[in-house]
Amino acid sequence: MRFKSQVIVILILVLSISCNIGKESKFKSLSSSSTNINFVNKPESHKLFNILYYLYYYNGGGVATGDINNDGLTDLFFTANNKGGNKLYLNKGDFKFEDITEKAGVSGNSDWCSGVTMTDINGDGFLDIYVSVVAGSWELKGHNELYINNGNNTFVEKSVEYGLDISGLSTQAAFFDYDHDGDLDCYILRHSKKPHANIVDTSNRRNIDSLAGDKLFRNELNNGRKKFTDVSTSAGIYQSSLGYGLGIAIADLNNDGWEDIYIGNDFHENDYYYVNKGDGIFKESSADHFRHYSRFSMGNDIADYNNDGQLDLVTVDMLPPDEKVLKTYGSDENPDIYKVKLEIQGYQKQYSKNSLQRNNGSGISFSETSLMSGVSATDWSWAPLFADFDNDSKKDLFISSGIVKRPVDLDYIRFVSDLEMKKEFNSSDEYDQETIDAMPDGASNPFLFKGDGKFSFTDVSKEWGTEKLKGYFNGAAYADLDNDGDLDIVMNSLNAEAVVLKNTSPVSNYLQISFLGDSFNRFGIGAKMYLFTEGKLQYQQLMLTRGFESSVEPRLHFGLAEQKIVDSILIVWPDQQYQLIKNIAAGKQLNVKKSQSAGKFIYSEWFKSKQEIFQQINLSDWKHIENDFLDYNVQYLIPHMQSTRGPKIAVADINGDGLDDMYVCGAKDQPGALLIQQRSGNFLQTNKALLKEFAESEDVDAIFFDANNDKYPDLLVVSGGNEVLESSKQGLDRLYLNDGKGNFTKAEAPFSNQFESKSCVAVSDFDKDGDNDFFIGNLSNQTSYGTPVHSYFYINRGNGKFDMAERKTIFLQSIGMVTSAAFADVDNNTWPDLIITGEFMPVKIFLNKQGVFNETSIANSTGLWQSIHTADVNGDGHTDILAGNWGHNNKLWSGKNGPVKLYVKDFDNNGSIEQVLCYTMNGKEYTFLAKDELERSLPVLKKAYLKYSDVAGKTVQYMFYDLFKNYAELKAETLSSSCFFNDGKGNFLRIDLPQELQLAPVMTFASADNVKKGSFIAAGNFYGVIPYEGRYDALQPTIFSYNSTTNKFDSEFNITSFDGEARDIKWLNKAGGNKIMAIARNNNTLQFYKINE
Amino acid sequence: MKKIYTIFLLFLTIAGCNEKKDSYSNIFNDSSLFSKTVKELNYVVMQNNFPPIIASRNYTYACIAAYEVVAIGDSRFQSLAGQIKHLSAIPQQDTSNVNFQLAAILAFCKTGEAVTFPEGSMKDYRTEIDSLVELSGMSSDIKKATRQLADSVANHILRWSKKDNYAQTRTAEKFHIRQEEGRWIPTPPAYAQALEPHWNEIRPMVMDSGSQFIPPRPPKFDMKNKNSEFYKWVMEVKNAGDNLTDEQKHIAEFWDDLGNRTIVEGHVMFTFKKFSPPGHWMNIVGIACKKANADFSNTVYAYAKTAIASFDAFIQCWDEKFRSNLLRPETAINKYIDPNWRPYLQTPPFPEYTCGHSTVSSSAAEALTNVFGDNFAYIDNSELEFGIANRSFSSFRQAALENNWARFYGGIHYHGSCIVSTEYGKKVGDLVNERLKMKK
Repeated sequence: MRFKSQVIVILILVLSISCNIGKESKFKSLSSSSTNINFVNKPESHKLFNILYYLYYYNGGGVATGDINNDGLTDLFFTANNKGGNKLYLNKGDFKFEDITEKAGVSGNSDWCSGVTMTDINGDGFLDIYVSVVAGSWELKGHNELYINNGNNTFVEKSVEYGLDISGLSTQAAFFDYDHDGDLDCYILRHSKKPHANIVDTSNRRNIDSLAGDKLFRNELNNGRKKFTDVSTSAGIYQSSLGYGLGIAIADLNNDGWEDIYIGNDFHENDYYYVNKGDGIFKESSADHFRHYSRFSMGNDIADYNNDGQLDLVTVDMLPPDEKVLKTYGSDENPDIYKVKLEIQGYQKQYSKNSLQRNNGSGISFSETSLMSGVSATDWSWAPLFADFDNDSKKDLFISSGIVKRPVDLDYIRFVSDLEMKKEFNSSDEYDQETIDAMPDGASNPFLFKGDGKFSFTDVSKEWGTEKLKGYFNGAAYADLDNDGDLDIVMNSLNAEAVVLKNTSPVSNYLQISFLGDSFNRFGIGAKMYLFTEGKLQYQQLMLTRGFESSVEPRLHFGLAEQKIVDSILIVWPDQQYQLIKNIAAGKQLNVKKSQSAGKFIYSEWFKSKQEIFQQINLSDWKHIENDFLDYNVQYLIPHMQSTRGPKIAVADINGDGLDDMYVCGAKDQPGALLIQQRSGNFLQTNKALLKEFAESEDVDAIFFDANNDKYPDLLVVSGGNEVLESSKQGLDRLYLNDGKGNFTKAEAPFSNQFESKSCVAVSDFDKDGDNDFFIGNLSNQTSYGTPVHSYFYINRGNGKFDMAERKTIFLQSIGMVTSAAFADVDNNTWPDLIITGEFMPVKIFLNKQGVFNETSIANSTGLWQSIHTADVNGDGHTDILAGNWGHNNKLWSGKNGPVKLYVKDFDNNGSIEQVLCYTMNGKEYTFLAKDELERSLPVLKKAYLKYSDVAGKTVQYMFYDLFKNYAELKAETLSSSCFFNDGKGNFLRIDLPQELQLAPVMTFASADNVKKGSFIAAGNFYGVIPYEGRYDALQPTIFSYNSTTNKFDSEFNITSFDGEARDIKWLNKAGGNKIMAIARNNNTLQFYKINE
Repeated sequence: MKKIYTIFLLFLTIAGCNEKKDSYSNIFNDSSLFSKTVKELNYVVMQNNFPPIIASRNYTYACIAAYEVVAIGDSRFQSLAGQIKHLSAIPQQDTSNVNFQLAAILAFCKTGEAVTFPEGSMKDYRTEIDSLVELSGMSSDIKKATRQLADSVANHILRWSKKDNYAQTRTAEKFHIRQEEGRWIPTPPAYAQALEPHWNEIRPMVMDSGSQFIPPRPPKFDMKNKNSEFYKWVMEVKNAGDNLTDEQKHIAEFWDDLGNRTIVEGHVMFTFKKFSPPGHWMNIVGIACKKANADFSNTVYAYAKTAIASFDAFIQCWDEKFRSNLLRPETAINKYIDPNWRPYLQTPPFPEYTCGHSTVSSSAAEALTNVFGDNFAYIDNSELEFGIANRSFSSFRQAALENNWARFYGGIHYHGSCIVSTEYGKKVGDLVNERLKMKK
């Protein structure tokens, strides 16, 4: 599988080995004896206060970087989870620091400090320090503290005077000018105390919790008052106990000039995306723009990592990267429970993994790509930070990680369950230590990922020197501490000395920019900077609070790779005044002054949004409605649902009026719809009564063709679905004959019907006898997925009656689980060949010689194929095959390097088939599901293994011991959606489609010739998976084409606003000769698009 | 701690009577040793989170194995073969050298272990028994013959047990959750899937089928009309729950018997364990046997009959639960009246109507009444080890009646439902008493 990527990996290894010879790694951890930084965060401990009482006991403290005395050297502040333990270190140059905490008076008065942000609150040009505090529970005392900088390395605590002496469960605070009145306002992020065992409805977000609710304060400095006013309610901020705020990021995600707020919430509460409406009000709009989130959201960061001028987002979670740890971490809930816990209560989808949310354009939609991008699993993670650490002009990603004790370990939970029996009768904390000791250690290393400026990140922790640092690293911040033109990193660790990572990269091209505002926002917080070099773009927005509980210095750093001169930079100040500076030499620190700005910035004048070629129009209200059947309730281990493959569309002009009409397949218990196009372009339903008769059948495919040689398009509808058929009507394929005026009648028994779970139909006059014949693909048995089934071929007697083809014509016994088929002449002998593929199948080509089919398979082509489309993609005169596969944005591909396998057998001899899905890493096969999930179907495993650790990290062969024999083995060697290029001699060469198309299963292709000559459109997404797999929702319908000059595919653009599971794309002729595009969506309405000329 | 205590007791017993060579007969002819053996299985069931209805299956097959040994060795009793569907006669064998009490215990352990997990779930206890056998000075001939009989009976019972459709229902279709008014949905805090929606397909012991006794329909779901019967049912639960007396709380806790109470703390979810409803009744059998001074054979007989009555009661109840699919009071109250209302006990994960515990209690009470007679007063101390004070009862039937209040006070059942459950549990128990002729 993925031969190409293996070559690349080897190349990278060779390169990195050759680069590393005789060199130290990029980041060097400096000793405290050389830096004088001996800060240790040792959490406060007292009776009835530890991890068993405070669930965020191990969340640690933060780091703020900033130059407090304006001497040009960046100083450091650390928060401690104990009283008086905070530290301020003055940078003396050359990585020497002086502890000035006592002199400065900033050690803190509260029992537990969490986040810290350095910012100039009073507009005097000196950075002040705002420390967040956890108080009001577990006998912890104190309140958030505001240290006003006196300008002489001393500070005065003035939180009471400013009205920011908030007492409660604060995580962090961020300062930004939300109302653009020239001073910095304050958002205080807080967290709830104890997760509700009973999950409450999201309507409770409007209830205010005085201890845990978030707060927004408006700075009154512009009115001459050193005071903050609580505007949380009027600004529309949720202040309830539902929020477990651990991450905050501020940025203008939708390019409207106003800073928006993104809040990361732990547990079942969604993250919040507050869109700043510019009138002092924020509208929480996450559901309109994000498809899913990290479930246990911790820290986050916003930056443009793919250099497209759009700010993207990362949120971190706690998914372990290590196979053994992963399998003691437990799987997610099953889909039904997930539905009850989250969806019925109004929550959106959340999965336990880091989320990388790519901004698809002005925040209209975000595609979550963490699995494909390689950053989904960094264990118990805290602070993600995007920054260009190697100055190659592409942002990299740092993630701090590690927890002292790992309370989610399944064996530990088992232990606690036994222990609780005793504890129940001891209201003391006598068993606390025993309980805590049983929790496994969760030490981790800080992760470093090198970005490619597009989709992917490569874990370079080893090469860059953080792999061997094991510990518990919480808050972190970057800064160029020695002003050598690269970014260093500082981390706050639990129970260990803080870590200073010196970036030892050789001198390279960079540009650093600081800002001088003309208002109370002296450091220009919120200023945007676009940097242009040779047609390339980099973009950052200055915001100090980032990552987790931490803040960075108020200057921007850009790596420039080979560029010695920057063409131009565009600065946009928060009030939307802008300035453009040209021809700047690399390698310097630039101070940009607001006083030199001129003119009002208008986004659309500078950045023409990719022309919206497609314009969505509403032509029909018909909606596909799925019944609520869950395949997992019948086949516990089926890899994914098979009952949500609809609807497909068939297109023809059924009444001869020159306008294309269509049939849309109905779901189970819903009739399909014949939609007649009107002159106006709208579609009207006809033949309703006829179609209603078969409402109970699930239509899986449909096609118009002339069945009875009367020259009118008849309609064949194929039935299937993954539910055990309860009536013969349910599985009946129907041939509806057309009278030429669009009136249909059902043909009586035109062929011998197979009452099975079918999937597709393809029509051709394969024997050139002047009538149409057809193939029906069969998917799988409704109770034994994985067992290959027969497909069927029907030959027309010429009168609309069909006979099943004999074996000598085509042999279709047990050919597999077919999802898609097409006729095309691939060997240029004028006889239409039949291409068939499916799940865990190769691409099979039945070569047609004079009306007899000969089966062939393309070598090494097994996959989880969903769709095929034939066309001469490269214009060489031969028919190529576009094939939609499962893609790369999933746990079967991410971090794996071998085939996906499906082992099928009645492993426990109880009369039902089990499917054991496995992935391959370094030649070893591991079950996709953890022991607890497999046991639901295979209780026999429970008998064999008591502890999760008995089998965690073990191969499937080990886990199934002597049960593992006489199974059927299916495999998928590639998951890449691909193009198979035909050399005209019967050989096919597989090439991956662009990364853009690997974001989700591709369920349909269509030509897009009328958009751009030779181009195609592909769409997909798939929600019918268990929460542990996580639904596929990142693929926007995308236009792509093959460039025969570069011999590569280019993805052109996508339909940014599209949302849902695309199942079919069809073009329809409308009045006046133009075409409209229809996209059918599962469990949703049809989407129509016209092309803007 | 428990284990050490057990061994200590065993040694005391031996120390008291190892004077004579045939002392082993006294050691094993000890009904309290059998009760202890049943309790051992009770712990296995509890520690490994067997749901109550599966627990009842575990007890029943193990008890029947022990009983069949007794029926061979004690002429006062007759085999269940032929009386219980599909249970064929135990193959004839030479039993002249057998110690039947030990054989009953060994057959119980072997069967109990086979129907539970993990592998070797009763290994420690078997080792204890083995050392007791060694210390007793039992001759090797007797040991061998005894083991042979125990194995042969246990194997016979296990072969029979495998055909009860249990394995097939492990992978039967799960309960589909739909957002339909009045339909059961999973409940906090674990939100677990519905337990065993196909339990009515398990082969009953005595009943003809799971649907032999179909209870009346529950009132129609209607939370709009405050005068509807259903609304009244709901409000009764809420009002009772809001005004619980200490006595009522005690009653609720005493009959809680939730094998797995789930506790959710932050990222962690774990369970707090107790005996299950059938486990509780197994314990009551032990208490009654002790009080009645029942001999070994009669003790095994009492356990077996009670287990069978519970087994069929669960099948009858589960048949109805997934016919009516009625939502729990907690769900109705949270959705229509007060989102913050919580029941005093934790709601178990299956539909409300009818009440499993009340059905089983009533059925088990009938079986025990049949064995020990009505108005058999006793003190139930089963819950003491979980920190819940003892309760006294004037009869088994009184205990069953108290149970139907307990589930109602606990806020997990409508009282109307509990009353029906007690009535239908009695029907099952009566049928068991009527059809099974265990004593000659």
